[in-house]
Amino acid sequence: MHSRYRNSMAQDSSAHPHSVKDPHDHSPPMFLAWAAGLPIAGLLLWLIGYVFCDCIVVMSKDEQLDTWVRHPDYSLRFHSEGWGTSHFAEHGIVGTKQGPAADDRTVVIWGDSYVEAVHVDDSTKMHNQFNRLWQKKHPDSPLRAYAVGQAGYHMFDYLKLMPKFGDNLGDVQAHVIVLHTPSDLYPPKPGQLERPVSQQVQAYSQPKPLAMRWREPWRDLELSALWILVRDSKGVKLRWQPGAIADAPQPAADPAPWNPEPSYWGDLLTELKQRADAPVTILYLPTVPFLEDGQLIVEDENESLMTKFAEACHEHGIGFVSMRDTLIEAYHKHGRIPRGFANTLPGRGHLNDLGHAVVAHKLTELMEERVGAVLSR
Amino acid sequence: MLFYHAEFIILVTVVLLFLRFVPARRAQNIFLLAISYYFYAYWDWRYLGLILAITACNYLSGLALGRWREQRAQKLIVFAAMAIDLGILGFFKYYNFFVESLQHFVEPTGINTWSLKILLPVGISFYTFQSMSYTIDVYRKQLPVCRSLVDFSLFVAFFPQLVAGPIVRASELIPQIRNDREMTAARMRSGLRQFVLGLFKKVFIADNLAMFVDFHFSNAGLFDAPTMWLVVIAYALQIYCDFSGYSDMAIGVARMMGFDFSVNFNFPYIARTATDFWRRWHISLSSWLRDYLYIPLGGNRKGPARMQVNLLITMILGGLWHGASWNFVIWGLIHGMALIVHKNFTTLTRNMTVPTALRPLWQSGSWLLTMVVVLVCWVFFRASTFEQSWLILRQMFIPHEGLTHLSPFPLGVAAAFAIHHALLNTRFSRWIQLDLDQKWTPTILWLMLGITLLFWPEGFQPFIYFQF
Repeated sequence: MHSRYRNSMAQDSSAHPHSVKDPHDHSPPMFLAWAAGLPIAGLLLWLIGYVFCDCIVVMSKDEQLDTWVRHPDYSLRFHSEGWGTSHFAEHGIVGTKQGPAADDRTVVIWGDSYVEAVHVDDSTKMHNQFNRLWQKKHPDSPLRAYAVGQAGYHMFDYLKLMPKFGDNLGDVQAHVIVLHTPSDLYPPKPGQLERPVSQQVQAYSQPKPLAMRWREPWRDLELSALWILVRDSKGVKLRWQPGAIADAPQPAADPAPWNPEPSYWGDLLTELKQRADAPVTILYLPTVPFLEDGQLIVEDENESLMTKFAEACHEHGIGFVSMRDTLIEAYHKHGRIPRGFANTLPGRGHLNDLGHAVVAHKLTELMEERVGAVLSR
Repeated sequence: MLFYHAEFIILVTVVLLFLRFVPARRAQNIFLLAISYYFYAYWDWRYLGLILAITACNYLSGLALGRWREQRAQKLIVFAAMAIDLGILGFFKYYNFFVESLQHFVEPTGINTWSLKILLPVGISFYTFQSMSYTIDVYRKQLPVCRSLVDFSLFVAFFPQLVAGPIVRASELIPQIRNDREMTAARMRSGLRQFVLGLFKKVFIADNLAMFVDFHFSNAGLFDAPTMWLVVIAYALQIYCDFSGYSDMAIGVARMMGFDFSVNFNFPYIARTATDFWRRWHISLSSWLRDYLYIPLGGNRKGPARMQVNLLITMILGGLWHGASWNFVIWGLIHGMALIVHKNFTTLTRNMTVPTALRPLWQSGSWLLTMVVVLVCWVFFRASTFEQSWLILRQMFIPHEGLTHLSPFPLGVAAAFAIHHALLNTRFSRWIQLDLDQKWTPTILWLMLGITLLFWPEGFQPFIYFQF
């Protein structure tokens, strides 16, 4: 029963004998095989990079907004978390190739990577799901959602961009800001809470994305694989000194729980209300539910902070909705966590198709409440 | 420094250049020894004292065995050497384990045992066993005494296999150290092939599986049965690729330098019996245990009952070698019992033959049963506690509701392994084995290197066997 394997030429890689050239073998020498193998492997690697890696993100400077946005002529393939292809209209409007006309009734959804949502296809993104739901429920009351989101955006970006968009967002009926972490409410530079928000927004500018001049030609040739290899090689640091094994670097401690100055929030929300040309609602997406140490965690560590923030919003005429209960309910109803993808981990990272659907339903309810009354007149 | 770090690649390049242009064997051995000590000190310079102590103990024991030939003196020398070797290993690796286990029993009496904060030196299990094999082989007159301190020290500390094996016998390595070595183009190609294969297995497959496995083991209670089966299969592939990948890199580097190490893995997951599995998995350890523990205990020479006891002792101690935890003891115990069952079954059925028509079914069934046992054992091996082991086994074998997460990467790896192993003994074997005289082999090796670099996982994943 075992001799077949014992005597088999199929041995584990470690058993491999040295190659011996057959004197009757007239094939080209192995040197050519190695030399030719490199470009062939390179071509295959190019193909693998095209299919499995994230594409190179091309950005352009939007003169009207005075900021860098995703270039509208390039789609964005994102495969490292989720699997999505995203398109962009002018001014970085997400998930569509065409922005709104000036007289289109719109609701604008602002956010960071959660709204940009490159992890899912355009049709799955929360605002496009909202559009289908709204069209189905209120075919006679046209209202369309558009998303303005980019990874890394925070409140100062929204404050800066809102007035600059002008008519490019249509006839805005409502603004919804998707917030998933309280840190996005705070100034990008620490220790600035005492300065007036208007001054900080004035002085704030989005950091210029790296390596812009290389991106377009590399993207045209779809050189994602090479781009990643070059980028990763820059992070290599050498250590030659023998030493004790250092303890594994501890993750950076969470910032001390913010002890916000009430005046800061008031200043921020006042500034938000002034810059927005329509009612504003903040939609809070806590990270729950998630899995940790064998438990399903449903408690949001930022709940008390966000409860205080919600009160401040209410005082300043800004809407605030927490999605905590809705997300937990979605888990119990569907048996899936609204975050995480097949190629990542459940409960970690960005919203998946279920998460976007849940948010789209909530947006529909919100708009029915806030906008529906106006549209029905 | 790990084998896939830039520092190691640069270091090996320097070593190869030195060996190529400095042919004097003694100079080469001194240089290799210095590099090996540097390699070990790179982890933690404090460990150097330990390896020097083990080296001194066994070197002097060898000299003493050569000097005093009386049987009684020989036994005393070997006993003293083993006591020192195992004492050092036992203290660093098992002190806290035994103390804490003892505490569990004596607690009602009010007695307090003291556990210590002990740093576990990297590779201690490997080089201790390796050194012991020298002393025992000299005692058995199977090996001449090595009188050169440089040569012996290099045998103990040789950097490619120092920290995670394979365990290379003195009879295999010392002659290679003492004789002139060849560095040929064929060896370079063969060694490089081995290294790239090992790198691909360790970094691309094992480290990317690790993230999936770690998360699901920690949250096992929340996932359904199919997911947990995938997790355990993923772990089986992870540990195989991690360990055999490391072995491949070690063997490849050594081959480039002119040294030949024996096979350490031989496709263990095609094994159809527990016995066959242990002929294919961590061969250097299983053969060490056979030659230095199982056979001295009596092997199978003292009747079937004693053979079974010897097997159990060997496998339990083999489990304990992996780590100071009852989980490893259970792992070894289950494997021991599987070996006993197989041996008894073979004895009972030695006069029976399987009908030809049923042979494929019989072989498939044997394979499936063996793999289920191996997977169950891996649960104990990987889980951090006994309770976690039982939880995972319940999640696997009892249908229940839970989250489903059939991630494409582990599924793809499992499918690729299944196809690869199925083709092993077919006409495609030379292709999938990447024989060096196949014209496509260089392309595939370049591609594997590229894929490894492209999908380099974030975060540090140490070799699993470093902890042993």
